[in-house]
Amino acid sequence: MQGLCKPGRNFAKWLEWNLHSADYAMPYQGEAKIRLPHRAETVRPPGAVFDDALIKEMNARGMSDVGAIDPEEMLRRLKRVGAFSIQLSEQQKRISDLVEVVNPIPTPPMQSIPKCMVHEAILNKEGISWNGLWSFCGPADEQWDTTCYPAKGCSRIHMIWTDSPCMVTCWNDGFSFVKAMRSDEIEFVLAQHPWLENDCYLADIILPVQTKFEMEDICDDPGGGVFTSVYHEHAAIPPVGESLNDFDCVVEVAKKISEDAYLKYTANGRKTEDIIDLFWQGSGVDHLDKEDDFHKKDIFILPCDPDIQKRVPPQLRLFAEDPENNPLTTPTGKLEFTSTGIQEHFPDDKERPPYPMWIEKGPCHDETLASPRAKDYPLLCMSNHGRWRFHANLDDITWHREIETMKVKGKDGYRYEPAWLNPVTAARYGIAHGDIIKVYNERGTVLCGAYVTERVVPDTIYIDHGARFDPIDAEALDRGGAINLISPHANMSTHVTGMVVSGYLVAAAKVTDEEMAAWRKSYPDSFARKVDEGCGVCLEGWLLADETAAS
Amino acid sequence: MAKAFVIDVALCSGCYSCQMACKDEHCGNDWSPVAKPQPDTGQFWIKVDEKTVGSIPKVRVEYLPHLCGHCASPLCAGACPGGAVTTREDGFVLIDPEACTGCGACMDACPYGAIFNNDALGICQKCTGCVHLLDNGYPEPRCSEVCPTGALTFGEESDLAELIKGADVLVPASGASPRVYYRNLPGKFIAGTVYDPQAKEIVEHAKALAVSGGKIRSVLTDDFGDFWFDDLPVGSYDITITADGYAPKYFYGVRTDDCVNLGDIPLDRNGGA
Ligand code: SF4
Ligand code: SF4
Repeated sequence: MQGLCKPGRNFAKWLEWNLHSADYAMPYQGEAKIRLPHRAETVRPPGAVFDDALIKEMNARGMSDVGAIDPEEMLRRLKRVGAFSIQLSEQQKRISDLVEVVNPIPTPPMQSIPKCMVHEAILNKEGISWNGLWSFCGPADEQWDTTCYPAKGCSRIHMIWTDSPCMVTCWNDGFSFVKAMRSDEIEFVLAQHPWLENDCYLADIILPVQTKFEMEDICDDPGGGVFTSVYHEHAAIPPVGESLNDFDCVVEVAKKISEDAYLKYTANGRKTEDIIDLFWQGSGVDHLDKEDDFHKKDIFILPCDPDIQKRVPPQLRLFAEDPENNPLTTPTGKLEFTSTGIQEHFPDDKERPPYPMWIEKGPCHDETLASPRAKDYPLLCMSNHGRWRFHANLDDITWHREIETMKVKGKDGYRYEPAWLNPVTAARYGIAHGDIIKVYNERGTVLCGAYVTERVVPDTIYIDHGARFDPIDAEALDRGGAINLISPHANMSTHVTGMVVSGYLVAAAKVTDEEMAAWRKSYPDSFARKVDEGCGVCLEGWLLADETAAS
Repeated sequence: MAKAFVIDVALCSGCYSCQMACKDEHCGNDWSPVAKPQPDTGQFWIKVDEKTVGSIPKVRVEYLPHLCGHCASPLCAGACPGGAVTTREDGFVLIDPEACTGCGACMDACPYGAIFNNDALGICQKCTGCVHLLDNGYPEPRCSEVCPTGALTFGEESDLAELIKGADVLVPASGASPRVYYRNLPGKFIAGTVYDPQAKEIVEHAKALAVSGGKIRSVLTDDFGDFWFDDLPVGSYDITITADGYAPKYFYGVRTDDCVNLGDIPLDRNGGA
C-alpha cells in the first residue's frame, strides 16, 4: 500500500470502467467527456413530490433529474450523486431543440425501490425500509439515509411495467420474485422483451421489442475498456414480426393514452433521424470530430492526446506524492483500512463491520458449511457470471449450447445447466457425470446436469447464474437451471442494500426415474412445452395455437 | 507446395473462437462447389477439446483444437467408393458435395474423427481449409485468422518449417501424414505438496527426485511447498523427497498413464524429534 500510485505501481480496472471512474479507460482520450443525452433519463429519477421551484433551480444547475421528497433533501442528494445524474452540458443547453427533446418532464410523485428488494416490497404488507438507494456503484454516504416504501404520500405498487426483465434468473431469491409478481398486490404486469423468457412468463401483456439489429440508434462506449467512441447504429435486418423498438413501444402506449401524452413523449412527433442528429450535436464531443467521421463513417473515435502525461498525472499520483494537499474523497482524505463512515454510523453492524473481515454468520446470513443448516444443505453453491452467457443473455445460442461445459444433455435429451461437482462429492451422493440432479434448499428446487470434474473442491457445487427459467412449478421447481431462484433473499447487511448470491447452501441429489415420472404426471403442461433441439426453451413452447398457420 | 496448420497448444487459451468462426463461415452458407452449408449444430470442422488432468488442487486443463489434417496420404480418399474425395494442388483434401453419396466410408476411415454426416443433404462434410476464401485472395482461413493468441498458424508448409521442426501430429501411427502439426503437446505431470506436520508449515526448497529408466530429474519445492515434474513421458517413476533435517520420503513405481497428484506429503523430522 505504501507504494500505491508511485511510479511503477499501477492498477487497472477495465470493463465497466464508467461505473467506477469519472475518467475514461483510455486516458489519452480525456480531452472532452461524452455526455450523450438519453431520452429515458427524465423518466427514471428517484424521489417524490414534484415542485416547480425545485425544477427551476435544478435546471439552473444543469440537472435534468426531477422530483424530491422535500426540495432541500433532494438537492442534497442530487449534489452527492452528481456523477450519476445526467446533466445537460453547456453545449447541450445551447441547442434549444435538444433541450426540448430531453427536457425534464414534470413528473408526478415518485418513489424508488432497490432492485434486490422489489419482491420484499411487494410481499411485505407492512412496508419496508432500507439504507442506501440509488445504485450498487453509488457513493458510500448514500447509505446513511433511510428510505422507505411506500414513500411518504405514495401508494403501494399496483402495476409493473418492466423492460427486458430477468429478475428470476439474475437476482436474489427468484422464487420469491415469482410469488410477488403473482400476488394479489400486483394487478397488472406489462413486459417489453425481444424474447419470451424469464419474467415475461409472469406478464399479462408482452410487447415484442426489436433487438439492436433491427433498429436505428445512437450509442456511446465509454466503459468497454476500448477506445471511447460515439457511433450511429443502423438496422442490419428489417424488424422481425410486429416488433417495435423500446421507445416506439412506449410511443404506441402514449398514443392510446392521449394525443397530449404522445406529443410530449415524442417531442411533438420528431423523427428518429432528427433525434439522432440532435443527440450527436449535444454529445459534448462533436466539436472534436474534425473530419466529420460520425456522419461519414458512422463512428467517431475520440482523438488521443499523446501529451496527456505531461498535463495529467497518473491516477492518484498527486495523492501518492503529497497526500496532505491532495486528499482522497474518503472522509479522512486518506486510504481507509477502517471505514470511518461506517464506524461513525453503524459501529455495531455485525455483518459489515468498519474493518472487513471473515464473518461466519450474522443476523441476515447463515450460508457457510459451518452452519447447522449445512446438515440439511451440505454443499456450498458457488455461482458466477456464466462462461457462455452474459447474465441471462446468450443462454439460447445454439453454438454455445453444444459445448460440453455450456449444457449437459440429460438422458431425457434435455440440455440441463451444468452443476460442477468434485468426484469425491459426486460419489458421496451417488451422482455420476451426466446425471440429472436436483439442487435444492428451503427456497426451492432447480434441476441441473451433473458435470463431475476436479476443477472444483469437494463440498462445493458450482452453478452459474443466468440460465433461462423453465418452470415446472413456477414457485418451487425449475428445469432450466436458473439457480438464482434459490439464492439468498437478504441484503448484504441490515444497513446496506445489495444481494449476496455468489455462495450459499444447497443440497444435491440424483433425480430418480420415479421422481421424474411423478413430476411429469403432476405437471403435464410443463413437460409438454416444446423445447428446441438447438436453443432449448423457445417461444413455440408457450404459444397456445399457431395463429399464423390459422390465418 | 502444400498448406499446413501449426497449433501451439501452449498458447491456446481455450477461447473457442476458432470453433465459433468456423461455424460462422460455414453454417447456413453454401460455398458450392467447395462445400454445402454446414448444419447449425452437431458438426465441428474445427473443435476445441478440453481435458482436465490431475486432481484437486493440482489440476490443469489442456485444450486441444483439432481439425481435418488435409493429410498427404488421406485415408478418407482411399475409402471413398465413388472417388468423391480429392486432393488439390495446394494440399487441401475436399469432399465434392455433388459426387458424395453420404455412404460414410470416409468417416469410418478417418483416424481423426474429422468427417461428419449431414443427414438432411445426404452427404459427408468436413473442413475445407476455407479454400473458397483463399481462392478469392483471403490470406488465411477463418479459424487461424480469428485466433487471438497466435496458437493457430496457417501457411505454406515450407514457410512453416521452423515451427514444424520437432512438432507432433496426432495419431502418427495412422500413416496419413496430416499437415496439422502440434507444438508443446503436454506430457504428464507428477506433483505434490511437502509439509512439516509438527510445524504446521509447508517445506520450501525441499528436493524432489524422479527416477525412471536411469534418467534422473530433480526439482525444488516452491514458496507453497509445491513441486511439479512437468512434461513427463508415460512410464514408471521412483520419487524421493529430501530436505535438511527431515527423513527422506519415497514413492516407488508411480505410473504416469495419467497426471499424478501425490497430495500433501508430511515429512518427519530426523530422529523423530
Ligand atoms: S480452415 Fe476453414 S473450414 Fe477448416 S476448420 Fe478452419 S475455418 Fe473451419
Ligand atoms: S482460437 Fe486459438 S486460442 Fe482460441 S481455442 Fe482456438 S486455437 Fe485456442
